[in-house]
Amino acid sequence: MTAKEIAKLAGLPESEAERSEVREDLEKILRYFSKLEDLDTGDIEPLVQPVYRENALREDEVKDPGFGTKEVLFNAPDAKDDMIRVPRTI
Amino acid sequence: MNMNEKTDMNPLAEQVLDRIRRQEDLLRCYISYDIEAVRKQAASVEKKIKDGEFRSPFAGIPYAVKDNLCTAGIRTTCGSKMLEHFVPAYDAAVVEKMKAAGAVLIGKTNMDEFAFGSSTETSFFGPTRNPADLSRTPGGSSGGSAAAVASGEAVMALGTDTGGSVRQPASHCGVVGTKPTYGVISRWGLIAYASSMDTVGTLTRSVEDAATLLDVLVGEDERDSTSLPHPRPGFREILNSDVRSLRIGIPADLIDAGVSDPVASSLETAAKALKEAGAIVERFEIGLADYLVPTYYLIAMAEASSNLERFDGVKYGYRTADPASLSDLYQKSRAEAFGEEVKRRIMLGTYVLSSGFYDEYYLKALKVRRLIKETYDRAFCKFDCILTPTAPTTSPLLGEKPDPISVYESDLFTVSANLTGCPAISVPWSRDEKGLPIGIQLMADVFCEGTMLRAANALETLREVRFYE
Amino acid sequence: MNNSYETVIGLEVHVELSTATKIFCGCRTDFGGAPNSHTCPVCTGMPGTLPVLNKKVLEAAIAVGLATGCEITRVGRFDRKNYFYPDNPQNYQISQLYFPICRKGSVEIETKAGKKSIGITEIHMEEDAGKLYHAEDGTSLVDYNRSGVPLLEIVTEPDLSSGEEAVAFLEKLRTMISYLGVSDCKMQEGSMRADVNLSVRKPGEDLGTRTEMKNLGSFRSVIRAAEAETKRQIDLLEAGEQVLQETRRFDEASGTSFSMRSKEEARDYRYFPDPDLPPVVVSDELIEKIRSEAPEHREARILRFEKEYGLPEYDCKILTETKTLGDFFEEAALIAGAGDGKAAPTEENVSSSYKKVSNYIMGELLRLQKERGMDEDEIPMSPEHLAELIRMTEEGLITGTVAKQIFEVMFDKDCDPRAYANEQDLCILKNEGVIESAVDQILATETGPVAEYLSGKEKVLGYLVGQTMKALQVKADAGEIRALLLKRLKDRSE
Repeated sequence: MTAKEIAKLAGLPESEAERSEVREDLEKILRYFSKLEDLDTGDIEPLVQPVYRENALREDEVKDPGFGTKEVLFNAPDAKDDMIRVPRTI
Repeated sequence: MNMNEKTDMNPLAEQVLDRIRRQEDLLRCYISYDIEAVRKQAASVEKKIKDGEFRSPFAGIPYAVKDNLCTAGIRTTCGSKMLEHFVPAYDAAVVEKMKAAGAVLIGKTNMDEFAFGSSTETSFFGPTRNPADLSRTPGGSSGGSAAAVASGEAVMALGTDTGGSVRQPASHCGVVGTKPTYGVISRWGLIAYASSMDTVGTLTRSVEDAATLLDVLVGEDERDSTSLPHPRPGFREILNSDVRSLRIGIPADLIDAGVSDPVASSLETAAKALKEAGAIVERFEIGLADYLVPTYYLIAMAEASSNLERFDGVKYGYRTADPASLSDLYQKSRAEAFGEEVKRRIMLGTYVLSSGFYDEYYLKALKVRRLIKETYDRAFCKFDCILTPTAPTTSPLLGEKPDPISVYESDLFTVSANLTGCPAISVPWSRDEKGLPIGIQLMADVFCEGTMLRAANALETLREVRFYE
Repeated sequence: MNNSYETVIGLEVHVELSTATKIFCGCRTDFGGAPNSHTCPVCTGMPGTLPVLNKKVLEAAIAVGLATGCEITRVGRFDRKNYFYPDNPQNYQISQLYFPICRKGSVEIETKAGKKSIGITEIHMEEDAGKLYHAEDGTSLVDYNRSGVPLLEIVTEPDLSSGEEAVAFLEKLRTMISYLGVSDCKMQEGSMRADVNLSVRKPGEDLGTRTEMKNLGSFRSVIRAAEAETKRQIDLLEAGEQVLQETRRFDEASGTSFSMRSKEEARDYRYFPDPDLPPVVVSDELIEKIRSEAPEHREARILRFEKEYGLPEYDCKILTETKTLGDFFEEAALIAGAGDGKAAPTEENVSSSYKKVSNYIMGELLRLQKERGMDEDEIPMSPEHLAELIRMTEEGLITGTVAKQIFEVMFDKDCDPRAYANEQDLCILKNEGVIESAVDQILATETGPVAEYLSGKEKVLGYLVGQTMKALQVKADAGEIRALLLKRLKDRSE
């Protein structure tokens, strides 16, 4: 994975990853992370959430969120016809 | 300024506003505050108290909120240019609770951008100064909240703690910083950094205030799927300083990894004081010392890289001028509005999740996380609390640009609470030869805030060094 | 198929669930509403918001999994699929990759070639994206009303060999899912979407490179697209070129497809478990509850209709084409078969009533639906009214022809047939006097035909009956008129 590809996936311009001090830092930190390889983790199950709970389920009932078109558009940088406007999508 | 000592609600807000008037330009604790709005709020609350509408101990108390917790109608920036003008339409759950208790919101405090940092220097709005020494950082990322409480610009403050961001600034500024068990305080309205570790925390001047504040904030929220009910709520009620027979463990391998002399001696005197008060204090080896920090940062950056994808210039926040295309809009908006540390962490997080590296980095870190959790589970079978310094050194000078890895490693004592979900608290204990505060941290097993607060309260009672004029 | 190549197809089917609210927030899912009005901070990706799973979505997923013979995953998770696109407010979609809710099922299809089992690789839950519109000024506009609508994605093994088989699968799936009541699965409305993964190979060879085809709006498109893509791939291979692995977009108008390669390049979704959502733990009790509460599926209903209503298999198949149609038949039949409460129903009357209901549905209802371009699901009259109409014919109150007229009126405005018949004066005349005078009138005016009849041309009777009926506006029983005419004419000849 090249630095340019990473930048693109991360929604950043390629130039962000191309700066030499950035690349050095990134490489250094990745090497730092590689320390974990020393540990034998075998078949242990990954821990995603630190405190166990299961099944947070919600009833299928419409809730009025006190939120709608006005709130969506309030912080929008650009809008038209009650919709957010962006450059042409493919 | 303990609540038990106040006799009149009104002067408190006035006192805080006075401090702000005199010091805020220098300290820069706040990103947003509106004196007139505070006055109006305080007056309205005052009336409601007289009418018997508020009976909470916090009615009328001025408090501050870290700027990554949403406040309806008040801009919430996360210390970033990306959200410089963002105004949410909703309150964070914790803000709702404080409102219901009648607390008076002073303003939104300064923080490292998106909570990525340990010094509050990465804020788009400039750094906050440590009230204990204006040439030094207040710590981070909740530096503004800690400094506000330390300097009297707020009676208490809310912060967020993902890897130590409430406890470490508390230690550097000389206030009490508390992080409860993950999930017992709702994350609704907390702008996410690392979802599996973010916890709302409190900055107060006493352990008693912390216990009382936690009582207000704790509670399951159906809007947060990771939130849980606390099995033993009511911390203020059971608070005392009795540590007789309390089993306290000091992880020697963590300490030996490197702490400054003043910090080392601070830990020793704290341990001695607890022993003399009847606690059983023992050194032990926790194991995995070298892996705590890399595991934390790897997971945090991965989750953060995903959580920050929504900041794209499309729906809210900063949008670049005249984008030539959609990808231009994304890339330029993010490049122009995010600071260096944020961009670095986003790229690293993206990398460790990417195809070909996922197993080796991210999945591996999750496996090590379970090892760490099991390690602490075993430790908490032997000990009620684990005692360490909060930070390996006192507060560094503003403007130093240390190598990122050494900054990360300064989180050695705090990250395990976030990896394991355990509660932890930093209590100001002593000062170094320059007068800089040193905090001592107590950590307990999940849901054992009661025990932890008791030990912390004991430390505070036993403390000889004065904090707060 | 052509040139000794065989086609290998796998489908990815997205089904929009008909829950009241979205998958991760309490916003409404119904259509209509101003742009961005069915939204909340969660489904618009506002900072600090969190997802909470809709219980009904989980139950629907399990129900579909059980109906397709899948293993239900006992500990599942949600994963984030990360990619930047404006219809995706968080720039990640919450989906399931590593531990989907259902795995390893199968669906049996039947085509001209016979029966075949199609494997289901997995079924998972995920959220839908918002909608993008192209504005005339060259920009795009985003509406988040559909963002967060719950979807089930059903992935098949590459067991299908043609567009026809793919459509047979989709039809079977649609029947199963609509019988469960969790979605209406209408491709034209977008509540069922199918992506076709297709490759070709010579028999015995390994699987060829496959392409993914999107934007198929109907069953017919699926067949056309499969045919066109098979041909395109064969042509490439025959010309010595390679098939590129890519996503293609089908164009309805031209019947051809275009590569979407530029969009799909470098798509590393970096799936990882969503830390905001706890594991989805499915207990034995929940599975049993869903299994026992599942509505009757179609095959069972066909057998039951045959048995309980004494109808032939052919009829039962048509009546159970959709759940709604079957429900309508059953309600109307039960009311019609119960009789008018005056006389005790006999077995013969009851089964004759059932058959009448069935005939009306198969004959009139389906015809009218087709004429008006409606779905079998759209039944604009109530079963009570149909049963009533049938009772009226059994009472001899109206003729069969009139009944059909009333039926069509009921189809258009669902009125009470008895009231309508009275209003419009359509009832068979029982008044002897009126009939007699009509007959006499006709005999008086139609002197020519009467003379013809009396001179031996018996066929003219039919004409006289017809004229009388016309005069009475068809409101009399033809048999009665005929009898009366005969009597009068006989009298005359004597």
